[in-house]
Amino acid sequence: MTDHKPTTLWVDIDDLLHYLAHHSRPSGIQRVTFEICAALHRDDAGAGRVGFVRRDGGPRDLVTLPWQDVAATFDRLANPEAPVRRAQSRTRSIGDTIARLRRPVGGTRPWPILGRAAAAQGLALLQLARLPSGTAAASAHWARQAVLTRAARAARQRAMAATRARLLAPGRPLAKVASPGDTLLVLGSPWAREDYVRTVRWVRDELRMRFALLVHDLIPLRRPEWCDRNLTRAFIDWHRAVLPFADQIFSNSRATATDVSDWTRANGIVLANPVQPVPIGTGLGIGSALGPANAAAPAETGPAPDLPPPGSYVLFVSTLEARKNHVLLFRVWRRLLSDLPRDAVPTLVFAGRVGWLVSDLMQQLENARWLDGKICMIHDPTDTELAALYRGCRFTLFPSLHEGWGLPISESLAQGRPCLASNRTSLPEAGGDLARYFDPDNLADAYRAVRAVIDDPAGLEAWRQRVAREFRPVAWAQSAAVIHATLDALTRAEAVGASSRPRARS
Amino acid sequence: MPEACSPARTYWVDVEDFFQYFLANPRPSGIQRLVFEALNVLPDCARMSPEAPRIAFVRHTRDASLLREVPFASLVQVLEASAHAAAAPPSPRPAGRKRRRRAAPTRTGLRHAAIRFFERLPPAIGEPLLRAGVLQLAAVRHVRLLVDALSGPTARQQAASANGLSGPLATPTDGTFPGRPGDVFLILGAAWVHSQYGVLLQQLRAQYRLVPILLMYDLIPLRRPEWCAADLVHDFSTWLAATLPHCTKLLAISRATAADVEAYAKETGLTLAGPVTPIPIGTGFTSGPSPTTDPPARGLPMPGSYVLFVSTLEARKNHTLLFRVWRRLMTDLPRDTVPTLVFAGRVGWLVADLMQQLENANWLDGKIRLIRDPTDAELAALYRGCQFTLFPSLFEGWGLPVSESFAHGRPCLTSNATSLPESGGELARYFDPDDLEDACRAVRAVIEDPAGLQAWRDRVAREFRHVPWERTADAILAACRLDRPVLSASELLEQAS
Repeated sequence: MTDHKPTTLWVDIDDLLHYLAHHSRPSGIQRVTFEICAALHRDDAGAGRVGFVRRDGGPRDLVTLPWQDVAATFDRLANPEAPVRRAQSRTRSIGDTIARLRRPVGGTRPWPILGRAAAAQGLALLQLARLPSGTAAASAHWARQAVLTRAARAARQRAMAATRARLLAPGRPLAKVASPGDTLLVLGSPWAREDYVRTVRWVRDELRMRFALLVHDLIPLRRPEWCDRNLTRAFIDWHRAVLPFADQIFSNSRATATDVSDWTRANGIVLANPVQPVPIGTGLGIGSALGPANAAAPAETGPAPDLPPPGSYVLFVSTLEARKNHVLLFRVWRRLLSDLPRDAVPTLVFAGRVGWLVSDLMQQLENARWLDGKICMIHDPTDTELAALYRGCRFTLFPSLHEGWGLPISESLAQGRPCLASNRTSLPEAGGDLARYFDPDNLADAYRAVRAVIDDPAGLEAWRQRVAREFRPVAWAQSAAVIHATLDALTRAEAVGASSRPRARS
Repeated sequence: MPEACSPARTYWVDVEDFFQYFLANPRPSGIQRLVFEALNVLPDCARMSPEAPRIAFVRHTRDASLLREVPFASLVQVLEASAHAAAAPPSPRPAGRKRRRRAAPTRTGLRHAAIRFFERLPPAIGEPLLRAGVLQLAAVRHVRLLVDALSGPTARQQAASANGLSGPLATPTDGTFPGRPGDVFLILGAAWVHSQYGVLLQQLRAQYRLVPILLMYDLIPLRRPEWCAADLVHDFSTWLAATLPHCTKLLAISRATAADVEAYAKETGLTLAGPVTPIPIGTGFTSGPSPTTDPPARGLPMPGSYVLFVSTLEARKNHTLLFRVWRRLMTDLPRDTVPTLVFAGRVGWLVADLMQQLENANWLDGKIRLIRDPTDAELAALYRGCQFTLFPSLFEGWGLPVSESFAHGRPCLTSNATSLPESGGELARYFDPDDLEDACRAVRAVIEDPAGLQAWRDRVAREFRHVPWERTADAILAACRLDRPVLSASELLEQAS
């Protein structure tokens, strides 16, 4: 072994490909994985010291694939060509007359009831009478949509088929191209592969490679209540089996690093090296499309017509799921509305996908009529819409109970918007001293924090300016650099160890 | 005003909702228990009271007399029937109730699906279609109301009377009702199940010059509609708007509710005839089979090993908080020092996600248990065996579980929200139900100090004073004993104009 011979980093992106093949939009883990891969690829600049592999068959059948094709697929998924706008949630669109007619008339006297029945029936017919004039407009709309959708779908399918063919084109087997001392790195979430540990053992023992992985969080271990039981089981089994073989574990935050060390210690797993936190870049999807500089200027697309008016709302970008703690903000807003005049309370916008374990929350919002419109929901925003939402918001909120990192916070700051966030787990790392914090398990504290911002527009403006002035985006190149540096240090340590006495660890 | 001096006024107690309730539900809820206990002693208390009014129980009729007297025995009969129906736990639940619980979400789901469908259509036709649909439903609803109004009792009511529960209604009335001017019409139960209640009160006042007096439980459907079915929110608010103006006097089951009702009146511009009077609530229940005659409850958690939370599982009761408290206790304390947390109650609404979370977390490996639908005997045994009780509810009108815990000689660590400090008094300890930290601190303080807990238990056993239901009855009677049938709010308005 010599330390001047360069080693190669092989990144296993099988789980990323699998995700892209089965989901329409990348989520947090996939975006981070992709951005780090892209940075590693850029860094390499064609030197061939970074390669990408996927699995093609059994646990030993890892084959190479070209990065360009992965990048093309990812871009298409992250930025769909024709965003389809869904109606946003419940605002009362039906007139007061209708609302009044829906209520039963008091009393048992027949005449008023008959009157209402007749009025309702009459108006119903009147509405139906509007249909013929609407049909022309509607059929034109449908015809246009049909053409668009058909063309778009065909084009998309052709492109997808081509990419898939390229992606799955037989690559070169890892066993043929890897050299001893190379590293296999996993950045994503391959927990679905029950036999992954066989890959790892093979890679280390047969190919004499190192194995490293990036842990995004241990939520299924720490808080299984928020995860599907099958996922939890697979997650536990995978980590119990694989972590003991890791030459190097990376994490996305110091909080996750601590979590990993604690859990491995509690489970009798001895780590070869301390867990190394990797800086997480800012600018994902929307960040790369519209950096903070562009964010100030109005985008070419103009404001989307059905988003709430700029300046009228506070934004919470996240999938709706129990862990994200939307219910806390619902209660905060209920209290705001009882303590402040209605027009002094900004609208609260939830932007994201409706996830799991929130059907009761959705029902409660429905029951409360979305606080008569003071809470509204933008379903599945595209990156363009998300950028517009960030531009128009007063500030953002992120009350999550448990995170591995906290992308929405750095994203908000990158967009020049202050973020009021939960003080849990990794979030203070993601927000630094530019974000402000509250206890996500304490309604009074959250309320106080939100009130303080709402009641002080001048302070908010100063905070915004400070964010715009002081926020330093983290380049994904830094993530790549830390990964390289850590692995290089291992190589050097090995060389030193080989020339001196054997070390205690294997 | 000669009728005021008449010594033998009658207080007509409206018990129609009591019967209606048991048509749909097998077990009494807090309201039915409270009403039953108060009515049980009301006649005797009335005889002893200065005015010595006659107490009579009435149900609604569809003829011109509007009301008909029923014997108290008929209430006892209904309650006992429910106790027997529910005696065999927990499998043979009446099918009707299950269907009723399910039906609502399905209907809402369908409605939402239809709405989403219309919203996805081009607005030029989607909007008129949606409106036409809504209006058509309204028209159908009114036609149904019209049919109801024109015909006699509905098929549902006939079916109800056929099943024996509402037997008294089936017997024909003679078409007369001996109500006299100045008599009190006492509304103590869940009268908001009657949609046309305002009209009934109006007719009773016009026809018999009765004086309606209403007991308020809470304004939860208005204050926190998120925890109630949309139908209930709507029915309750229309009911309240139609009913309150007719009531000469308002009572409340707590000072918190009284203040809330007064605040509501102020918000809506309604002038109340006077302040809302809080009445004391009794402790302990005589209803249901007595524990001594029952076989001992078996298969419950080991006595002394657990902490108890008695309540229907619903979002408002805040079971989620205790789940998080226990999750934290499990990480902060050695496992064997953490007592089991026992949820005892029916699984209600808006907790499917919580149940799934408990499932995902494997019920914290058994540190949380759910004793579903406990019988009265099991409940008594659970109270006997618990270290202490917890009640983290976010919103209550009174807080029966708190006083019930004391009645069983068990300390209660309770939420400090709304009426609960009234219910718990100085014997309970409190925490903020919206603050996990505070709740953890409070629970740990008790768990880690067994000697202190014992002292607290001794203090509860020594100092807790049962509130006899006679005090509730007396307070109701005192509130009814108006110097003079004061004009109701709407009469004041009429006079003013």
